[in-house]
Amino acid sequence: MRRLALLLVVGAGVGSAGCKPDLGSPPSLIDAPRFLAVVSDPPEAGPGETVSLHALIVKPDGQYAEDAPASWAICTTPRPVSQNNAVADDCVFTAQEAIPTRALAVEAVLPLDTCARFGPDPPTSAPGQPPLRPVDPDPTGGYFQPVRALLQDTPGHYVAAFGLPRITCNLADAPVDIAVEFRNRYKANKNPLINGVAVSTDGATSVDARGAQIKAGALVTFVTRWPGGTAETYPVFDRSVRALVDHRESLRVSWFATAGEFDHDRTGAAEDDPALSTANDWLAPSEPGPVHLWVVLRDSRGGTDVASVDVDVIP
Amino acid sequence: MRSIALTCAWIVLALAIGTSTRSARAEGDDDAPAQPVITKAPQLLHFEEAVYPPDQKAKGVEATVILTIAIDDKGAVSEVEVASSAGAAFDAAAIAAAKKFVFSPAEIDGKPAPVKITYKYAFQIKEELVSLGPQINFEGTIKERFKKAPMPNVKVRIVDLDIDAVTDEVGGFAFQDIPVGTHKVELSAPTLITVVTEEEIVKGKKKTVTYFVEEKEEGVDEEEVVRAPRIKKESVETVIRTEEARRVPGTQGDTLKVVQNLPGVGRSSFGSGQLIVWGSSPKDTRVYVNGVEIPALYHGGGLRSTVNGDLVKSIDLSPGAYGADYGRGLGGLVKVETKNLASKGTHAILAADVIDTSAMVSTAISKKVRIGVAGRASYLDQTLGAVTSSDVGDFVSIPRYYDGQLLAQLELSKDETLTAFGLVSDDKLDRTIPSDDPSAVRKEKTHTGFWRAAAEYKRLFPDGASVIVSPSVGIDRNEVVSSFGDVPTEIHTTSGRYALRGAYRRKLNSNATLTVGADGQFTHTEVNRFGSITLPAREGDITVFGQPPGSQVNADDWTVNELTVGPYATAQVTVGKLELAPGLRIGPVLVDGSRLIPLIGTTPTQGYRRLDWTFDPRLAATYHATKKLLLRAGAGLYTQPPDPEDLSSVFGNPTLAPSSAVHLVLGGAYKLRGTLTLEVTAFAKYLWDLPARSEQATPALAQALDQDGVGRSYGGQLLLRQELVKGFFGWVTYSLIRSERRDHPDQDWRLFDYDQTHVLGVLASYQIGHGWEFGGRFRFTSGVPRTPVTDAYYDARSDQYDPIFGPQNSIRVPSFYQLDLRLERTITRPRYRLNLFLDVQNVTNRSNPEEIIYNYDFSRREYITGLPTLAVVGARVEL
Repeated sequence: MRRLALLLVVGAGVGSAGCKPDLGSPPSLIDAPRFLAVVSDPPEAGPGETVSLHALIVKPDGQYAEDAPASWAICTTPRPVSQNNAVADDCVFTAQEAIPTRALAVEAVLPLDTCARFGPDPPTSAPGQPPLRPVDPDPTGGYFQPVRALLQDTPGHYVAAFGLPRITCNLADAPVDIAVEFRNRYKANKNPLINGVAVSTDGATSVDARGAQIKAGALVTFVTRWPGGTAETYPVFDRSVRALVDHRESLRVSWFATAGEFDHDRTGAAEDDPALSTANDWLAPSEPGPVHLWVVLRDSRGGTDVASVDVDVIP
Repeated sequence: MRSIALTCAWIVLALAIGTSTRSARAEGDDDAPAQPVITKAPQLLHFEEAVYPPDQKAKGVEATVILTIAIDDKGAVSEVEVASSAGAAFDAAAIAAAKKFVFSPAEIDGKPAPVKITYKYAFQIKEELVSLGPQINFEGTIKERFKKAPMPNVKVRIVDLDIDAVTDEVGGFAFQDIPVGTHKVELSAPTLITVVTEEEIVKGKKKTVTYFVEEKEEGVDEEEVVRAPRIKKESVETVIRTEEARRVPGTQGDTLKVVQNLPGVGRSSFGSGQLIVWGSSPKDTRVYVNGVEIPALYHGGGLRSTVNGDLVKSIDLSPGAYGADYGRGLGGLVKVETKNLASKGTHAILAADVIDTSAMVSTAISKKVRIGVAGRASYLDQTLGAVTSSDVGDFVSIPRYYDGQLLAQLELSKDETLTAFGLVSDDKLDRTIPSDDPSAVRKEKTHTGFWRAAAEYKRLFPDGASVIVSPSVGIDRNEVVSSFGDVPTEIHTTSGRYALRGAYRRKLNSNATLTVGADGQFTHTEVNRFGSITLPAREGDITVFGQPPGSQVNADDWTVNELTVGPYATAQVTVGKLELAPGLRIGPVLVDGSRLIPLIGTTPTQGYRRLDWTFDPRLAATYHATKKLLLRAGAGLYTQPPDPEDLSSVFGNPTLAPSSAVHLVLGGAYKLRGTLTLEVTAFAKYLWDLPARSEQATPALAQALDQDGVGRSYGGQLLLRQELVKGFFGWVTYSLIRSERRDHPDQDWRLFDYDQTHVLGVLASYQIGHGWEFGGRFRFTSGVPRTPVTDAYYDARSDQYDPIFGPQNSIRVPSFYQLDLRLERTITRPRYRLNLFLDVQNVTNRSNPEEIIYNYDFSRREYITGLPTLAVVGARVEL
């Protein structure tokens, strides 16, 4: 248990406060089969359009679990407005439209009514009943269609992961002129692109991390780069001022390794940060051997790219 | 004066028929003449009092002589014989007196006739008040309450007769020939807290009383007190003296924080300072200062009260079933009264510790005008920041706050006062939890505050009636600007409050008092909200500590005008040992809002207006079973207007109606010894029309909240309390409470988020001597309910796991227990008094779990623990 002991010494006052527990392995350590991402290509599509979804599952040995049988389904139940979770509980186990495949990659057609179930179009209400509340957008103005991948990790136990391709819908509650302007200016999201992963030791110039040899127990810095323009600019209908406001995507990199310890599980560049890379320190394991690393780059509108790097930890 | 008692004589049982009457015939002799019948008994027309034999009277001997008295047909006594002797002296006296009796003639068969009767003549000695000129019929002794020492030179005034007396060297006083009836008695002295009470003088009896009174601090008119839960104002109350409240361990000398140690009050969640009373939501408990409602009793984090304790005379906590003079709340009621300032001179109090510094200055500008001003400013955020690790802010919010009070008292006449006062309180919190991950950066900036300007006019009429009028204005502000990664939350609320309270109280007769009044309030609230739908969290939300808010966002700005008039009437009726206090509060709740449905396109804004009538009867009963045992019961209906922040067409529901509750209370108090009291109370509350988040995935437009919620809380509490005596005070409190909610009809009952089944507190303090005092407090509470996480799924878009929950609130955070100690040294000098204290919380350094925390994929569960040993040193100087 890591103790956040503090000492107050003000005059003759003495005090201390707060205690935070040890929660075990960080998410960046791959010590069991794990979903890294569900990549949608394209990351944004309209109702009736097809997206490719690929569930990336990695194992502690550094391999992708390409042969794991998965069951896919398109979620049909929006989450309650009271819920913090990304999808409704019903979508985890029930209320699905199954996609008939067992592969980890699947082609999914976005339902025609997805903008009414998960978007801004008013849901259909029963005759004589008051109109229903449409789904609210996320801070990027986006709406998302949950698609579930269910994987059996141990007998009798399933692990669920959700890919959430962004759906292109109209601005339903904006004035007409703003809705028209939005339609003209808005460009569907594209997946970001990782431009390479580099590594540097002791502040030295970074080199391509692929096949790099790193001394056991050494502290090195990995850098994930992306090309200019990866962080796209897009308009958002700001409901507080009821006008279109331009935003720029923030970018996040999730770091994973089969051994060693990252300083941070995720790093990135905020919306107002023009950086084209993000760095993260990594403490190499004390035992020599191959280590597999992955980086997953996400933009704030739901785009994803994945890269992997193998390094050798040497004595 | 004692006098010789007279005999009291009566005719007994049977009459003996005179000798002229024939004897009865033989049985079965049908031809025998009819037996004479007494058709009228003799009546004693003249009674002659016997002379009590002097020697027997001197010895206190009482006796009864049974006589046979022969009465002729004219009613005269013809012969007296002793049937049963009581001795020669008594026999002779009885015979002599009986011979002078005069009767009405007896009649036999309708004609006057001689008869014999048996007469019992009793010689008894009794007390009799004989008027021998002016008599003392009201006397007594005045003693100091705690030392039990006689108090000389105390002025005892019978207000309605305008006469007074002064106690002698042994505290005695006496009045002569006080008229029969109830009189108001006032006790006053320069060193005494003025006390007014009532005494009833009964014909022929002398009233002898002993008053126990409290001496006040030098230069202060009245002592600050804290009263424990009660049913109504006139019920027996447990009073905690200022010096007790200030010395309670763990309160750092803040007298108002002692409320958190009273029975029925739950332990507030980590660093919140919320008042959880009898399983009620903190937002449902109302706080009033001199009848003016304020939004919070404590600053953020519960570190300090928002009103300086040095200006407070009393604080009353009514957990439920309170009278009709207050309303607009479903929970408890906290009433704070400011003290009367010192009548002469200038006084100052300065206090400082590691949390904040406060000061109070009061001065008597003239004999009738007094002004006091107080203020406080915190710096704990600075001191913490200088010495703590940066991630303390992840768990503990340390606001920067200040408050100020201005109090002006004008004595218009002997029974007429005007008090003006102003209150201001401000809390700011600004913290950022940085992260290299843009989605994990958390920022929180809050600014809450209020101010009030109010006046209070009081007048006591010669007939004992009184009137109180208190208008007030003020503004509440609440601003929240936060972000959790990309998800923003902004709420800006400004609420103007205009209130008028008034009450007229009059005694109808010696057994009944009537109060009529009105409690009106108009609020104009403007709210601007933007961001997450699920922040701020509501009671009943299913989430885990640290979980990011829902990513859906929206915006709305709306205004709400609420008018509640609140006319009420209460009565107090005494029937023997039973006191009844029925009351009724009615009134319209008018809500006028700016937006009924969300803005869609360019659709014009549509407002709304609704009027609800409330009808809230209340009843309290107190039964003085014995001098030591008091039984009480109470019940009432309570109504609470909707919270303007809930009336958003986007985040709430503009059509919400008032919520309601019924309270039931039954209990008693037993005085085990002079200053040792045991109180036991059982209660039940049922609430309905409670707003809750819609459980629908797509609720009707403008109905993110619905109003199907119901609630219930029930249980009991116990208070065993030793008042300050011989330097020792302490109490034991225990509450057994269960509080449940059901948000929607199709759901099961669940535990209330703030439910704490067991709350135990043991507190004691002892004055060691030479200015040293040592005290301790032990607390035990059940952990608050939480919803377990049974599984999780991976959200690939945000790269985080979301929890799958089990039954709502079906597990608890482990129980909390903690020992606090306090050591205080008081140094008294002619010009000042200095208190130095060391308040050590969690002496045993126990790691009390405060919250449940999970690892990233919810496969592992741990606890965030609370404060380790925390020592606070402070000083207080009174000049």
